[in-house]
Amino acid sequence: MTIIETTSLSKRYRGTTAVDGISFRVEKGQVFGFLGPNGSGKTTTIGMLLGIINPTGGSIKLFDQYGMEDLHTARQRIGATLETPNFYPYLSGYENLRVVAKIKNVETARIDQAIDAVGLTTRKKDEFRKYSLGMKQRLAIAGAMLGDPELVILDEPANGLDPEGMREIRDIILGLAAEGRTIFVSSHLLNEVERTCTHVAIIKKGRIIHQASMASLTEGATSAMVRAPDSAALLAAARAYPGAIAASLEGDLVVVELRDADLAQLNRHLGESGVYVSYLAPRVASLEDVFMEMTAEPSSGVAA
Amino acid sequence: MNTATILTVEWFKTRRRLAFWAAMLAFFAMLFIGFGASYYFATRSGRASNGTTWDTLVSAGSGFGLLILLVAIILLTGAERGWRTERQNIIDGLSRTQYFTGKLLLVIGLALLMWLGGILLATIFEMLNRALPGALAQPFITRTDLLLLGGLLLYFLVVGTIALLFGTVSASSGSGLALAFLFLFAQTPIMFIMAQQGGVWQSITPYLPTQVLSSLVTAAAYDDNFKSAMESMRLQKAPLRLSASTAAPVAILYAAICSAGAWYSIRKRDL
Repeated sequence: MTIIETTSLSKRYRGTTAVDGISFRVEKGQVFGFLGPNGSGKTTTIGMLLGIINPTGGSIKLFDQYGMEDLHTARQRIGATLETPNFYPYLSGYENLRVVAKIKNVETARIDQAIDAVGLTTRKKDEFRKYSLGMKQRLAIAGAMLGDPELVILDEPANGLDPEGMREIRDIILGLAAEGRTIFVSSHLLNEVERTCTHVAIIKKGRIIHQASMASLTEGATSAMVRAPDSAALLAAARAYPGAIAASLEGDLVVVELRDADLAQLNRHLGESGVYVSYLAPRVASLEDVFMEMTAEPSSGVAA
Repeated sequence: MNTATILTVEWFKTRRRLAFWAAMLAFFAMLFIGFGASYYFATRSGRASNGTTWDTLVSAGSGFGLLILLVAIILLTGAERGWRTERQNIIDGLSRTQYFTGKLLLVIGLALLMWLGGILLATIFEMLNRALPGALAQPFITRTDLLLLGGLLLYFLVVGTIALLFGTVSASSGSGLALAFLFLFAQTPIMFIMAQQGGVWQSITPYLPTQVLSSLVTAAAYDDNFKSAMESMRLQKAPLRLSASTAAPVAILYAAICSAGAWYSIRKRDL
């Protein structure tokens, strides 16, 4: 079942294109990372999915049945946060969730369960304005969880958190995923996306430049890291290897980009060239490598 | 979601707002002081003031009520935009129309609260005044008083919808208040300039919002001789007023326009 499907979705503000004809699909049960630098159009896209930002072009379909006119109905099946957690500062965490529960027509008894799930039980009577950012983020997730949503949309949930807070949010997301919910999470934090998501779309300047499963995005060790006592001789031998696309020196390591992942052949070639390696290991591409490669600005010449 | 649930959500949000309680306290304190002072002087001087209580309610209530209701509604609606809770309410499941309905119910609720609370206070003080020695022998409330009270309720509702409009179209409560005060206070000099021009310009002046509101709470506007009084005003090139029977439908039209504007703003803009 396709939970989210957008077709040529666009948003233009007076001369600025925030989202430029993006199309993507999120299937049931996926943890879908929407990855992009700040200002790339992530929040605008989520706003359009939730029906609070009006698209200037394209279409949205949710749960295989709700179109643009039915987003209000679709929202009954969605729990979402957008940008910073938005609550009434003068109400306590518990009272804020009571407002959410009333809107979602959820029993009051469920509030305590949600608060407990995000670890805010001891602070639930404190005013929202007195919460730390991490507590606010957790309360926002608790609010999103009320109503037992099929789709959870979280916009930058780990933004501004310390490592401990990030770990807590990550655990919550993984817990939600384990319950079989579909999760759409936007972030510019590559490490967090890599650790939590099964699928990812990379957005840059309002356009999706890549969409794939996390495994296919980072699979295939096409580089090798090699160390030898004589780095210069190693670099020369690596460059002469027929299976090498390029080789470069990084500190005392030579990084060899390979046409395939056959490190044994490389090792044999280096030995036959008189270079005996002390270290040889594949370099697995991280999401960061892929992201940086895809979002890198082409260098341009400077006009005189 | 039915209207009762929307009302419950709105009340739950409002009942903890300092702005709400401060506004109500200020309004009723002002009325109490007005009635209390009148009663105090009546007891000291021996001249009963019964019969004037309703007039005091309408004149003081409309004077203070205008500012207090305007500020309270703008603070209660505009802040939701600043806090982005307006957006979150809709993400959580309210439709835009349901959100607007909640705010409209807030306006109606506050207007009714101020009106009914004012009537209760006035009733108490009217009874106290009538119990004083030398109290005047006149009806507890006259027909004109009743009409004025009806005008006062309509007055509160129109002021509330004007505030709702400014609270929803402005990016924050601060800018909403600035716009509202500019709207209200700029009308007086403009109205006098228009009146001085005479002719068509002068004949437009009674339809300006502040003049329509003023007509609703002016006893003379309910008088059958009001038209002849306006003729002398016309000759003096002064701002004109409408009779209450004309002002009431115009006021309802203003309330409808302001409500429609607020609804359109919530429905169409990006949140």
